[in-house]
Amino acid sequence: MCSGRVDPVLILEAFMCGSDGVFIGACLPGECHYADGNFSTMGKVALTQKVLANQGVNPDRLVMRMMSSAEGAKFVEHVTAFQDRIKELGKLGSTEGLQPSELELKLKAAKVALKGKKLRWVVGKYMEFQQQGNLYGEKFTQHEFNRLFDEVAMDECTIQEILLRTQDEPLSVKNLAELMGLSPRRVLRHLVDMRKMGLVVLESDDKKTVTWRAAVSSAEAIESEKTK
Amino acid sequence: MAEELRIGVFVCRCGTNIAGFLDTEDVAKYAKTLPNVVFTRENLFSCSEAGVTDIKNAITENKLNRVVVAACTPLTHEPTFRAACEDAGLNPFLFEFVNIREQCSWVHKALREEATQKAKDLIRMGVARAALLEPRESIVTDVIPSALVIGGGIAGLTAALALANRGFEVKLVEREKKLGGMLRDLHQIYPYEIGARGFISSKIKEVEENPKIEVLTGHSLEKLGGFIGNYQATVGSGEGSAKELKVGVIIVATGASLLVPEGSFSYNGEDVINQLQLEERLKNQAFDAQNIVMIKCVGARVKERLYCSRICCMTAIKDGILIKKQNPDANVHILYRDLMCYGVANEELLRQAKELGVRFVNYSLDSPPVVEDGKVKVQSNVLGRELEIESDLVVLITPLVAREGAAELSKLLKVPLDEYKFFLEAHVKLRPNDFATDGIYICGSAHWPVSTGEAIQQALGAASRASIHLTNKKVKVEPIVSVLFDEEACRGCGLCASLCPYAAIEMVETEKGTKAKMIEVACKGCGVCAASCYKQAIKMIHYSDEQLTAQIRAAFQKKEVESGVQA
Amino acid sequence: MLDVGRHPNINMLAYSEVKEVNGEVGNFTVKINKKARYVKEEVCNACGDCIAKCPMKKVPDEFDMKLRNRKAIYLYFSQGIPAIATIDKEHCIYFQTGKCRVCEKFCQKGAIDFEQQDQTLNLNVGAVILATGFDLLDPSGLTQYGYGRIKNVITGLEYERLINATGPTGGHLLRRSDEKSAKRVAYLQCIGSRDLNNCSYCSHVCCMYSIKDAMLAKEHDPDSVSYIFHTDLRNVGKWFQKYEIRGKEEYGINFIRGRVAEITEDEEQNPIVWYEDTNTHEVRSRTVDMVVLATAAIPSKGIKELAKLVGVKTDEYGFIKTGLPFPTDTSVAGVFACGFCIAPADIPESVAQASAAASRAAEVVFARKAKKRA
Repeated sequence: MCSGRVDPVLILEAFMCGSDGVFIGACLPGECHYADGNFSTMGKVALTQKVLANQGVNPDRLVMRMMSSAEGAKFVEHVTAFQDRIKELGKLGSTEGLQPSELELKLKAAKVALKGKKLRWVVGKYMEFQQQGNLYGEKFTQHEFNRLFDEVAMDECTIQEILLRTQDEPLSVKNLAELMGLSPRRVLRHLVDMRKMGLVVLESDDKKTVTWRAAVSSAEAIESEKTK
Repeated sequence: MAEELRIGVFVCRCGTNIAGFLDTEDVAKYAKTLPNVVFTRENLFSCSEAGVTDIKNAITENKLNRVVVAACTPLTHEPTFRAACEDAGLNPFLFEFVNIREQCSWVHKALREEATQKAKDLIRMGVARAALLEPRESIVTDVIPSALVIGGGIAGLTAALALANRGFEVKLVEREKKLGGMLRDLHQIYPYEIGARGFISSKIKEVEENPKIEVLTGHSLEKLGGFIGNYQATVGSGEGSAKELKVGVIIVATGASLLVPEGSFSYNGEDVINQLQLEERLKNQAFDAQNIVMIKCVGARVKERLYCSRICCMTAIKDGILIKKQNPDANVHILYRDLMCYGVANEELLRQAKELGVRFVNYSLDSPPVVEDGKVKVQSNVLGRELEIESDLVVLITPLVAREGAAELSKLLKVPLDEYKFFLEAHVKLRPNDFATDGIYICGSAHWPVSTGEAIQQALGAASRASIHLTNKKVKVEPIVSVLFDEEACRGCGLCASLCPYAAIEMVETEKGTKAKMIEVACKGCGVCAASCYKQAIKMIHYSDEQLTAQIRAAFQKKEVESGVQA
Repeated sequence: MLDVGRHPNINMLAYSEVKEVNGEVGNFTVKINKKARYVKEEVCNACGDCIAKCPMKKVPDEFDMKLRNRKAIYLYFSQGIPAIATIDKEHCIYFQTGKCRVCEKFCQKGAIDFEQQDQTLNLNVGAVILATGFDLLDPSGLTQYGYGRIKNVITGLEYERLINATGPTGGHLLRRSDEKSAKRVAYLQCIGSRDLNNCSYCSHVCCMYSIKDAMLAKEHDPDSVSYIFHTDLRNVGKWFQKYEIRGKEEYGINFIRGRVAEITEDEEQNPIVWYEDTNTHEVRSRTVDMVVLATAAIPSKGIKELAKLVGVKTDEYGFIKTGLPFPTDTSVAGVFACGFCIAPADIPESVAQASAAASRAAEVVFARKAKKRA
């Protein structure tokens, strides 16, 4: 098994189980026991860090460090540094200012997003795009990738979070915006997109407040591929 | 109905190696409290004869159907314990190894209590995974005892002969009408004073007379199906007559071409030529120049082609020596940036050239020589001034470049190329003649410029690597591989296939549309595909999502499980 | 290494020496002296208890280039195979004075055996492959470089141990004179190589390892400055030029074309490198904190005797002679050679040669098997 086997979903699983940090050790670049699996790990970790950041979790809680099996001292150094950093950050959610229930919801949204097509596709193609460029031979720079990662991570997580929040009770744009700490405009923009995809429906009991309700569960949303 | 889980946990003391730094008795006692654990035992040395017998007896007496050993690293004793399980009639893949030595006692020597706690955590995780382990059988496939060698130059000929001499059938495919490759055009082989023509002719004869080798000149590979041990290769002559070959392994020996320096230094093929044209004149005894200037690194170690072609310094020096021996009065100047006379024999040749009066002038890339009518001007680094050298023949020493068609061949074989379209081996240092894909091997200048001697070494090397599977007649793989667990779910997107470092996944058309197909014998079990599939259709056997998730969950369960015990 | 240790077809005889080779291609008898380790190989599991308790602490550690000490019972290095402890009789207190046996007391597996004797083994084999590697020239004789006299002049291999995280300084590049970390390091090429008075050939691997060394120094300490003094930079292998350019551009290595004439020392024990810059023709000097000598690779100790035992020809330097048509065949049929014992070679060349020698040997061995069956 290669570090490339570390599915981002497993990383989220660990956080949801109560881990305050996740450390991934991998072979040195160019010395991967499985040819180049560690490069794909790099992509997965980078994206997962973006997703965590987007969900209000300090991305320092996830690190990937590369070393060879003969570098025991380096391993100790890395692990000690990581442990110190996690001690500084304290219990998951504490320095982030997230209540347990809120944290659970945020992580759940992240996990579902990471299970889904869009994010897995982006990270899967990361290596290929970097090495060979896209269909037209255009190569992405690290900077462009960062931007792409940011955007996709944000969109996917937000969609999942809206679904999770509206599946039991319909919420207004204002409610959602407050809960999620986003501008009402952005929330509305997502909702409109999601409505087009059939993920949410509009509801209004009286004429004043318009509320939105999830039309599918967040897991189904991933399954149905409508998010593409 | 699922059988009842009966897990046995064995905690090794490893003398004092484990027991000296954590409380193994307490750990074993704790293990007994874990779900599905029906038996625990502490061993002084689990790996010793007594320990192994103890495990075997415990399996039979207690009807254990999962075994967990908490001891050292799987690197040393996993085979021992798997064998113990097998001896006791238990599938060896129902065994789980927990490392409480390297990962626990040895690294927490000063923290007895914490180490004990960590050992418990690790065992709890192991037990959780063990509960989900599934029996597996080794994957075995037959190997067709025959090889396809692509390329009929010195590397291909050597590889073909080496395998044929071992008794294997060889299909040797050469694109050109004749065997022999670049050596046919050369005069002499450095650093040995051996004529190229005679050398290659005798090799060709040997190949042609060998009953085990089928030579297919004028043919190239058009299609390839199958996998290690069982390839179907379609070769054709481009004139419609295709032929299907069944082979177990493939060796790539397609060589390289010499860069033609069109447009550089007034190259005209007459009085400004490249080294292949020089070799031809020397070989045909049509050489009559008096003042010869050779310019090295023409088109090499420059921006558009950063690499050093390794062999050109030596070909130039060898030719310089030949010219001087033929005509001691000839003036030979070699303009160079660095003299790549690595090793013993090459340095000797350099010394010989100097003794014979070949003159060497060091120039820099930022002030390259200028070829004018009848003379070459060059800024000499050593003299610190410009030299004007009389010349009636200028030889431009150019690098080897990848052969035309390398890209197509790489796609057919599903093996990678580097940025200069040379084939990319599995590891440039440690596995120079393997591809990451098992069953396909590489030698000679197809993956980097090499001398004749080096090409022969590599060809023998590739033949040696290929012969392992041919000799074993079977490829046996640990059944720790990826499988398409949920074919329904697979969308045929091809992401897994593009990520697989071993070309072990192919996309096939089925009645239900395009689907991924795992080639189990080629799979090395890295699990990248399983971690990337967005339909979760791929399952990594022995390290499945369920097993890993169970381990992760178990890792954080301790508070619930133990709160009662510890409070 | 682990693969070799675990391979069912490989019978590994470490700590053993070839004493006699008789017979001919397809049927050699090789007499081997398997030296006593005073530890039962089949019992020891390299737990290290004996090493921890051994009271003899002052044996210079050959693996660490004698930069630190080991015990009298020891593992050559921690990843080595077979992982079995060995008692160094010369330094063992029990063997020298008749009293101690501490290791025996602490070994829970009962693996210590002071009565063990050297064993003679006779192997019948079809082919022989020589792969004895190389040694490095001791640069003490090249007095101009001051090795041995100037403390902060070290060899490439000593450097390797210093910069290694498991080495004697924990991976810190500390000067021998004052234990201060070296910031300015000069790497000198062709020490004894390409030198008509010593080894007239090129040692082939030094240019690259010096670049690697300089890169490691920079990775370890971003403030470090490195100078590589070279003649021709012979980086001819796959991707080597790219590596050289990376060294120049990303790691800021200063490449200086010029042969070093002499090394002197200032009052702070900083080595001063005197050289002629072949580009400017001026004699210059540069003061650094440490000098690393890329010493010539020479045929390994004992190869002469071995070549004589086997009957293979060597060249004027002592490397085993090979040639066309098969560059891993020696002058004796059925005896093959690969790696540095033929001539300096880098890793991929050595690996390819090793496979080539194996291929040639297999032709012999399988022919013999076929004959036996017939």
